[in-house]
Amino acid sequence: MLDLVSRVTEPRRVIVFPSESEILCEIASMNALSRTMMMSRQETLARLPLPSLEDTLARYLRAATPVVASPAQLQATRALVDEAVQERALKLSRAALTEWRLPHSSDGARELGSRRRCS
Amino acid sequence: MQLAEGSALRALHRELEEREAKALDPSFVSVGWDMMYLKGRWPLPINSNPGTVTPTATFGDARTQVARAARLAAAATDFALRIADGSLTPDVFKGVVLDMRQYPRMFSSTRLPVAGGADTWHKAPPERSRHMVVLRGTSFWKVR
Repeated sequence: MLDLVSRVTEPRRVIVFPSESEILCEIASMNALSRTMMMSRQETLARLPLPSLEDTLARYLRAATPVVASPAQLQATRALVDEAVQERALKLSRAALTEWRLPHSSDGARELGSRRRCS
Repeated sequence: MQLAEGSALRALHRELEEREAKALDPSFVSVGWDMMYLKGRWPLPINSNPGTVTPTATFGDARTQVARAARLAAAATDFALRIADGSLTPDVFKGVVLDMRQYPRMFSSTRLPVAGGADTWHKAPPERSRHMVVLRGTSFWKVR
């Protein structure tokens, strides 16, 4: 039989952050996982091809066309893509560029590439 | 369509190409995908994602209903343990081997917000993950 031990009526407001040793244990367990049956064929995965920027913009226009609210919006969207192509617009600020820039090491590398051990 | 050199879009795309050339990430979408979920500030959809649907069943009495729920819970626990020790066999769909990296995030995991938006995900160690939560309506029951 199920043992109903508590009913949570109020959301808990206290967040218990993991200690450093818990995080190290987590990393170690992820490293251990990388050598298991479950992860044994990761190296054989086909790579998803990176489309060209022109392809991406064309796909964006194709996907946006049926969902924009009005013909005027569609026209504005097309104009933005055209301006991007002709480099008149999309003058992103340094802050905006940083916001969109990807971090140096990927999540996957952090999970499976680190060699740190659980103490 | 030809994009002019030197535009911001072109610069960002060149970064993607450089990462791809060095094969830094499992795929060019993976880092942005993780950032989208980890840096989001909306509530976590704990009751809908991932989901499993079982066939409709009718029960003669509460006892058989509880027995079915117990078997479902036992099966989910068995699955969680197989993810934890890595004994699952890799998924294959139409002859193509699929990426298994997300499986460890299915159970005992949550997103931890950090000041500055550099959020992380966290997987609870086994000693802190000894319960499951049952939802009915707006009630949450902790079962252990």
